Amino acid sequence: MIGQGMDDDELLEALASAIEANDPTPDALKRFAQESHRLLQLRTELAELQAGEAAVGAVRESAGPSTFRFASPTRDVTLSIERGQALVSCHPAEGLVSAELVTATSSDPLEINAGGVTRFSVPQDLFRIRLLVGADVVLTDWVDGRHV
Amino acid sequence: MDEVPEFDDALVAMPEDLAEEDEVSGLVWAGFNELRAECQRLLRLLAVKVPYKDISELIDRPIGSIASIRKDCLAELRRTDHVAQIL
Repeated sequence: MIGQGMDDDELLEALASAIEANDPTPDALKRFAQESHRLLQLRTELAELQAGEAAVGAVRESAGPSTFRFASPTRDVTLSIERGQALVSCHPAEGLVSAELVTATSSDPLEINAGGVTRFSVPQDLFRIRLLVGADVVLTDWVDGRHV
Repeated sequence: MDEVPEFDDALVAMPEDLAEEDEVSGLVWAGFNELRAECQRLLRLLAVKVPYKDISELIDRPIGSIASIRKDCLAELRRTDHVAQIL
């Protein structure tokens, strides 16, 4: 039978292949593994992870609530974080179909109101927001939820 | 005319080998998705070879416990119906 006698290391290797085939790990996380960098040092690299997606954006932080602005060719996405709670708004909001909170290991749908605003508790992890606007995917840069 | 080099069959993936790899990969992936979120997170980090020291910080568990959690999570993966089919 296939896979017979697989030890833990072999099973982990098989899992690595399965993950790579089904849900590839971000390149930056792989580099993190290879170079053993600290998570904070990744922020800049992770911000460059945009391959194949429709949106990019620079990060700006302000006093008081941390505010991140992400600009795509068609939409602006604003993420405001204060006391562990995040508020995301999309301008213009027309055509906004859905929103998801994405981490390295999960993807959870977010409720959006008529004004294109969604709220969620900030995960203690790297995360980003994926919006479906019409037929376009708008994906923000990664944000480090442990340090905002 | 140049001589055409011979293939070493042992180095060529045959269709049945590829089909078997796909089957294993699919079953392992299905089993992985049945695991607790904590195990999924740990195994994903281990799969890309993040050092234990960093995993410890990322999942907020003592470094000395990582090997034990790894073993438990892989055992959990083995017990899933999907992976049990191939082991």
